[in-house]
Amino acid sequence: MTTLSLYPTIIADVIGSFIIIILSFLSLRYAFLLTNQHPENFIWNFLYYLCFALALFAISRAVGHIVKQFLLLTNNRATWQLLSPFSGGFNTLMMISVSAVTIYYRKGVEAFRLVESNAEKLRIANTQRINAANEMIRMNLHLEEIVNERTAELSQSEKKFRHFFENSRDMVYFCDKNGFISDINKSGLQMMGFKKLPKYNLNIHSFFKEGETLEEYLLSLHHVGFVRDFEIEMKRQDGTICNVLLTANTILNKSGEITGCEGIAKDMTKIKRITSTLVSQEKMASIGQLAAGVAHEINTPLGIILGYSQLMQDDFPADSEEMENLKVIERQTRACRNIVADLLKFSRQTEGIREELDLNEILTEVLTVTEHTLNLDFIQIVQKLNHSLPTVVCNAEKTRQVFFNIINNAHHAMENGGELTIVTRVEEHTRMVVVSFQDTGKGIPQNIQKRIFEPFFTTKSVGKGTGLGLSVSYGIMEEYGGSISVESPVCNKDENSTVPGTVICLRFPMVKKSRPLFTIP
Amino acid sequence: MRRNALSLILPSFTFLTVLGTLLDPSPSWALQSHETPEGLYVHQMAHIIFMVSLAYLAWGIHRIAFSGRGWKHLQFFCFLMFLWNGIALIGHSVSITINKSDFFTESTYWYTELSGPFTLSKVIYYIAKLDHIASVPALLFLFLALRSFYISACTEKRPREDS
Ligand SMILES: Nc1ncnc2c1ncn2[C@@H]1O[C@H](COP(=O)(O)OP(=O)(O)OP(=O)(O)O)[C@@H](O)[C@H]1O
Ligand SMILES: [Mg+2]
Repeated sequence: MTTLSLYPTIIADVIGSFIIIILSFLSLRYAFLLTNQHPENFIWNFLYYLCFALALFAISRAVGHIVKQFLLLTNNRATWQLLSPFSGGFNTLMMISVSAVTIYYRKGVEAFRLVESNAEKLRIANTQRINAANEMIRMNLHLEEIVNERTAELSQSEKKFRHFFENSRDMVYFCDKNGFISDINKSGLQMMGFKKLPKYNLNIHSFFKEGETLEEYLLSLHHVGFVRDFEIEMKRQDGTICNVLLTANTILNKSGEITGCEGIAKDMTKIKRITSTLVSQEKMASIGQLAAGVAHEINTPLGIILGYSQLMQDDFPADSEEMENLKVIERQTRACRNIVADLLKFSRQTEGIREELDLNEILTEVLTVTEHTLNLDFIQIVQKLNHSLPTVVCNAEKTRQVFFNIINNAHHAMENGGELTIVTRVEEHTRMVVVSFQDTGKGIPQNIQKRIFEPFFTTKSVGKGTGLGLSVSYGIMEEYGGSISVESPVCNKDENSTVPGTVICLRFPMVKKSRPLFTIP
Repeated sequence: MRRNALSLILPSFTFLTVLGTLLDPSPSWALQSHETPEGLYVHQMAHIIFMVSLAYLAWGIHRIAFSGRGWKHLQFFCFLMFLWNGIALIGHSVSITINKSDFFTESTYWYTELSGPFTLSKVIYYIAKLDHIASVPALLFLFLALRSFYISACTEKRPREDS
C-alpha cells in the first residue's frame, strides 16, 4: 500500500462533529435543568458553566470542522483558508475558557462545603436551640404546675393548722418575749373568761395566779427552752381559778435569741375535781368499812350498858339520887346508840329517808342545841337567814350531822371567843341553796386546805379529834349532789381585803321541778 | 453571591474575548499568513492548559467530590477528554513535519490520499485525524454524568456527602 486514503477521517470528522453537537446540547439541557431546579446549589451551577463552556468549545470546533469539510469538498479551499484562523483562534480561546472555569471547581466546592457544613452546624444549633426552648417551655409549664401544686398543698396545710388552732379545745397561744399575746384561739379566751379578744394587749404572765410558778415557768423557758406538763393555777378574768396543764416552747430567731413563745394550755379544773372526788370517794368507802366495824363492836357493849342501867332502875326508888344518875346513864347511852346507828347507816351508804326540807328549820334546831355551849366560850352567833329559802331534798338526820360537825369545828377554832356568822341564801345561776358558816377563828393554812376533807386528817391532839367530821360531811354533801368548800382567810368583797377566819360553804341542790316558793312566816 | 459573580464574570469574559477576536482578527490572520508558528504555539499551550485543568478537575472530584454514578462519569469524561487533548496535541505537533507534497489529490478533496512512504509521523498524523474516537465518548460521558445528576437531584433533595 503506497497511499492512505483520507476519506475515513473525513467521514469520522463529520459524523463525530454532529454527534458532539447533539451531545453538547443534551448535556447543556440537563445542566440547565439542574441549575433551574437548585439555583442555590453551587455544584450544579459550576457544572452548568463548565458545560456551557465545553459545549461552546465543542460546538464551535464541530461546526468549524463541518464547515471545513464542506468547503474543502466543495472546492472552496480559499474560503476555508480565510476562516481557518478564526476557527482555530476561537477554539483556543474556548479551551482556555473551559480551563479557567475548571479552576473554580476546587475553591468553589470547598467554599460550598464550608457553607454547607456551616449551614448544617447552624441547623443543628438551631434544632438544639429549639429543643432547649421546648425544654424550657415544658419546664416552665411544669414549674407552674409545681407551684400550683405547692400552693394548694400549702393552703391545705395552712387550712389544716388554722382549723386545728381555731377549734382546739385547749388554749393555743403565741406571745412575744415579754409575754404579750400575739395570737390566741377562742378556747384560750374562753378559758380565761373573755368573750372576745379585748382591746388592750393581753399578757400571758398576768394569767399566772402565783408569782412563784411564773418564775419557775420563765426560768425553764430561758434555760431549757420549753416547759412540759407544767401544772399551774391560772386566774381567770372574773377572779376564779382554773387548773391548767401548760406545755410551751420558746421561739428562736436565726441567731438563737428568744423572740417569743408558743404554748398549749389544757384546762384541768374538771379533771382535777373529778379525780379528787374519786379519791375522796375511795377514802369514804374505806372509812365506811372501818366505821362499820367499829360501830358494830361498840353497839353490843352499849346495848348491854343500856340493859343493865334499866335493870338497876328497878332497885332504886323513883326520887332517889341513884335513880337520877341511872336515868342520865340511860339517856347518854341511848344517844351513843343513836350516833353509832347513824354511823352504821352512813357507813353502809344507806340513803335514809329523803324528804323535802327547809334548811333554815334544821339549822335552827341544831343551833338551839349548840348555842348554849358556844355562848359559854364567848362565841356570838349571827344568823342571816333567808326566810324565802326553797326546800331541798335531803335526810334531816344527816344534814343535822353536817351542821353539827361544822359548828363544832368553828367552836374549836375560836377557843378564846369570836363570832360565828351563819348565812343561808339562794344561788340562782347554779340553782343551789347555800349555807355558809363563817368564823373568826385561827383559820386554816393554805397548804392543808385541800386535806381537811380527808378522813382522819386532824390537827387536833389525840383524843380531842378523830379527823372524821369534815370527811363525813363531805360524803353526805356529795351524796346529795351538792358540795362543800372552804375559804381561809375570808375574802372581804366590799373592801377587797381578807379577814382572818374560815368560811365553810355548803351547797344543796334545789328541787328540780319548779314549784311556787312558800314563805315561812 | 459567589454564584452571581461567577455567572456574570465567566460568560462576559468569554464573550468579550470572542468578540474581541472577531472584531480585530488581524493578529491571528497575520500569524497564519506569515506562517509563523505563534498561533499554533498558543493553540498547543491551550491544549496543555486544558489537559492540566482536566487532570485537576478529575483529581478534585476524586478528592472532595460527592458520591454517585454521575461523578464517576464525569471522571471518565475528564480522562477521555484528557486523552483527546493528548491526541490533538500530538497530532498538531506531528502536522508540522508533514508537507503539502505528502498529499496526493487525484481529483477532488474527497479522494485525497496520504502518500507513502509511511513514517511514524505520518501514521500518527493519520490516527490523530480520528480524534473523535476519544472526544465523542468523552461527551457521551459528560451527557451521562449530567443526566444522572439530574435524575438523582430529582429523587433526593440534596447531594449526599462522601467523606
Ligand atoms: N373552822 C375551822 N377553823 C380552823 N380549822 C378548822 C376549821 N374546821 C376544820 N378545821 C381544821 O380541819 C381539821 C379537820 O376537821 P375535822 O372536822 O374533819 O376533824 P376534827 O375536827 O379534827 O375531828 P372530829 O371532827 O372528827 O372530832 C381540823 O383538825 C382543823 O385543823
Ligand atoms: Mg371536827
